[in-house]
Amino acid sequence: MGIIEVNKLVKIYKGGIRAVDSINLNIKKGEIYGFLGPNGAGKTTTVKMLTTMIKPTAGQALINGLDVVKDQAKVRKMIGLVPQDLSVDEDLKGIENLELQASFYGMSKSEARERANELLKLVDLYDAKDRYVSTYSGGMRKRLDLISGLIHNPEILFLDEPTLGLDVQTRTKMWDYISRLRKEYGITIFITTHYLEEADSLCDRIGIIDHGKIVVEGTPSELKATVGFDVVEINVDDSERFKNVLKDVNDIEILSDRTIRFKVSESETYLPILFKKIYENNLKIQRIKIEKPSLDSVFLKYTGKEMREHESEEDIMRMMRAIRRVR
Amino acid sequence: MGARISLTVRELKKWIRNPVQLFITMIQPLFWILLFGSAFDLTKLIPSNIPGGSALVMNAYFMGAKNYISFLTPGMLAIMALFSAMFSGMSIIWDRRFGYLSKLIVAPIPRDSIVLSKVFSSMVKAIVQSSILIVIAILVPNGLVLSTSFNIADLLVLYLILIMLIMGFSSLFSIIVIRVKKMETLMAITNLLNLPLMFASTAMFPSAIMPSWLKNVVNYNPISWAADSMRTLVLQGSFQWSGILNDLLYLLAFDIIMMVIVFIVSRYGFEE
Repeated sequence: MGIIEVNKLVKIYKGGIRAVDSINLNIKKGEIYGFLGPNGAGKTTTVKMLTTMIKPTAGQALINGLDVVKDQAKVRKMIGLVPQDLSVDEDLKGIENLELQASFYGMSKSEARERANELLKLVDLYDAKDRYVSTYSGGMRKRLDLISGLIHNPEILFLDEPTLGLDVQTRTKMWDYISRLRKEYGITIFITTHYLEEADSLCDRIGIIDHGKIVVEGTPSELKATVGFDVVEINVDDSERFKNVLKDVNDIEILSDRTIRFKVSESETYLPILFKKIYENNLKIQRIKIEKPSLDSVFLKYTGKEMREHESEEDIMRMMRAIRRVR
Repeated sequence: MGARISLTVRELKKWIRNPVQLFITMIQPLFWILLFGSAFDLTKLIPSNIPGGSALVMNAYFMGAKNYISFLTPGMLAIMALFSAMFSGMSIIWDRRFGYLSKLIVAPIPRDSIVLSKVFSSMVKAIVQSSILIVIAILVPNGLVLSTSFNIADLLVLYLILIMLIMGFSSLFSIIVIRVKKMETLMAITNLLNLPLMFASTAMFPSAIMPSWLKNVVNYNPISWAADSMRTLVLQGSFQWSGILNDLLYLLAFDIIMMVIVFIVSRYGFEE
């Protein structure tokens, strides 16, 4: 049995918008599950239903066997949420934010302090714990937000766009912290994201949602395998003669008399064979370039959209807001 | 009770730590007393050449107050409580806008604690502010003259009245704010409510000088109940329940109704 089990979950907002359209999920304990999709695909709505913030229109969602509607109170104790927008109180100190959060879960003061210190160390915030959050940088705030969702030792952590609006460096660091959490606590993490590199490097399994429906699900490498091919681009001294070497390969493109491009299903095993042939035919390689399939190509295949194109105006506004608030 | 207390402490910490806000809270009572006390001083209209005329008018219209500020101060206390309640209630919208509310909604805390923390903290703020206002009112020239028989029981009941008033109004404003998502909408609603509540009451003027339709309205305004009963305490002293019991019971009813609505609305109303 999965720790998160979702069965034909539907959310229709007022005005008839089907934000989530009969999705099924089965997430195993200890897994990092990435929920990907363009804007308005239903990611955040799904998180809101799973975290008891809004009620589903139909279907069922079970967290650790407990229904998110009927056993709301018990579910809340089990989960932690780091919402999309920053949700730490900047008029309080770092440690105060954590202690306040701990009081919601009935933790004693000493218990809270101990746990808070442990988490602060984990994300390198211990030295800043007595500072007001208003003096924190954007990345620090996000880290504090991350651990405040963990203060009560939840079994499942929901991260809604945890790195939106952060710069590349801070973003990579966040990934690091997130994987550290899993390693330390074996916690199940449900993460929605926009950034495909993020999903690729963090997640055990990925579901892509579009128009409220899950269009494909699998491990990052499974998904990439569905797009198929590695693209090899090679410069040789004689491309015509080289073509004969590639007799067993389809989709050959000659870009110029020296450059040739072709697709193979797995470059790792094919290239050694190719090198041998090149050697036997007395050809010379000047340059070689291999493109592995990325989640971008997966995303494109299943949603018909480029991720980048999809950074809509709303996104940019949200990012601007995040940046403004950090200053 | 845990979350109710810790969230109240959060509100108070934020209040104390914001020097500008704290300063304004402290200085505002001075403005209220000086500006309203001077601008609205109707007693200046009493002709000075009629012997005993002043006392006659003050007794007939101003409950025997020695001057206008003595009449005004209890009313100002009520109005200050109204504003304090309004701002506290409104801070729910800030929690929403700054994302903090989503954290509260997901936490296993009683929903009412989100509202009650605002109510409790505004009670504390109002007690502090009221005390300052009373002191300032006494210190300004031609200021508040307390009844010679004003005693500790009067003072305690005066605070009780303030607390009751705050409880009702900060609940009222919180209820309004729970579902409002836009600051602009909230501003429009609170402005619509505030001015009528303030002026259609006996906070600043005696109801005896009002047209009869307005008198009817004034009688149903909680601000009037609070202002009248506090005025009785301040101007008559030697505490007794009899003069104020009706107003207190009205306030109690107001509070009970508001609290019931708070529990219902906060239980079902908080959604993203």
